[in-house]
Amino acid sequence: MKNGIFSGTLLVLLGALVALMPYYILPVCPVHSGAMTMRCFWTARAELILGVLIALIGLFTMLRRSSPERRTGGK
Amino acid sequence: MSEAPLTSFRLSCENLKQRPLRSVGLALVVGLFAFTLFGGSVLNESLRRGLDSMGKRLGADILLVPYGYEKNMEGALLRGEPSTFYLKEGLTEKVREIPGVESVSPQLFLASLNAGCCTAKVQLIGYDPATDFVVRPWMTDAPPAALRDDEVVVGSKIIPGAGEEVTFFSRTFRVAAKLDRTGMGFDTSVFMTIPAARSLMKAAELISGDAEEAGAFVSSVVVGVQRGHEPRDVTNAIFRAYATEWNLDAVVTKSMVSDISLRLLSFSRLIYGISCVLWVMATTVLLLVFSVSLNERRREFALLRIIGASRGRLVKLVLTESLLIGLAGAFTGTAAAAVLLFAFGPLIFDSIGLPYLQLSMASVAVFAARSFGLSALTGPLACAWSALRIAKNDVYSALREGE
Repeated sequence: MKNGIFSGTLLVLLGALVALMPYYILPVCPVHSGAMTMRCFWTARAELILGVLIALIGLFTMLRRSSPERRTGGK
Repeated sequence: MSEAPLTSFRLSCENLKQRPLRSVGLALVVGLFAFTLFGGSVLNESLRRGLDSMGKRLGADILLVPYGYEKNMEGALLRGEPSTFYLKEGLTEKVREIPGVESVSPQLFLASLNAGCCTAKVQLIGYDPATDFVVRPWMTDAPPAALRDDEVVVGSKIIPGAGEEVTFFSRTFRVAAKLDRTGMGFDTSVFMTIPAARSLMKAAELISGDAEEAGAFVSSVVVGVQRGHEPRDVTNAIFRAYATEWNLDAVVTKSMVSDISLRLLSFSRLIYGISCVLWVMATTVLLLVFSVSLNERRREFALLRIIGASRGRLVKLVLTESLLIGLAGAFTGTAAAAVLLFAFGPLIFDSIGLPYLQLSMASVAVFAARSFGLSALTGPLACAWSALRIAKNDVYSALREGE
């Protein structure tokens, strides 16, 4: 159970890092420069989706490992 | 342990949980169908509307360009791909005299910001507001009475709005009006007067090579044809008179639109063809898997009958299982397609390179509901036959099987 919570938390943190990196930590070029949409804007968007997916997997891992059936080792 | 009653729904959920890999696999097959159907139909409809809008509102019947630049003109018109090519200006007045010609207006193309770093490029176009009949129909705001040399009209994808300022080649222009969404290259174009475009070209030292003398050339001449005259015939008349002298080529917009609509027809056939194949595949896989698995579970169903479950209850149980798989698959596929379309829609459409108009949320919701419903129903449809067969089984022989 502890392992589950640990790996789940790690995944959630990793997902948050991947998702937030191009927006807050190392921001990509701004979108509002005339009509220009830089290629890195789309990369950032792909990273956001991947990050959210990784965080969701982490969340599921945490919930699954900490469900009562798993804790008691059977149904 | 929880004391919740053993309903068909709960029993179905437990059954699906017992074989997680099989359940996820079947849901993914349905999801693939939902993804293709929803994503494909939204793409197809956006392209169809873009083409419709272009066909209806594009006033020009013929676009005259220098020989060999026909494809560049199409690229500029459809995708806003910046190009620069030149014709001697005197042609505009000469074409006006050809029988069947209703309106003629010159345009001067100036490529700008064609940088490798960016996905959207801007085409600067010099036009003559006095004779123009191509740009004006797209103006959302009241068209300016007379466009000054320090004013521009911008396409819908150019961010600054009316009254704001934009800078090109170190010169600042005021945005006088903004165009409606066209779905074509106009969306990423900036229109200015021809003298303003010429002075920009001088400033940017773009006048060299093709152009012989500054101030005496345009890039294309757009021609509107009178009612009752065929654009093809008028083009031939222009060619007979001036093709050799001016080294001309022409884009007849009617043929261009019908060429694109043929390409679009093949695209929609491909999308719906793939969806059909995936639907048949999903139905067959579900049919086979359920048929085999229900056959293996005959003893389980016989036991349920013995403890009091009716035949109808067994059918309901199996159908609920398949519906749950269908719902999970339909949700996953539709959601994945929606995320991709909303996040990367403009990028996908730009890379297709055809005119498109983004659908309203209501239209997208209708397509999503349709794809979701069709995909979710695939499950119960595929295993209805197996469910009915299992209900007809004889309880005694099913229970004694294998003894």
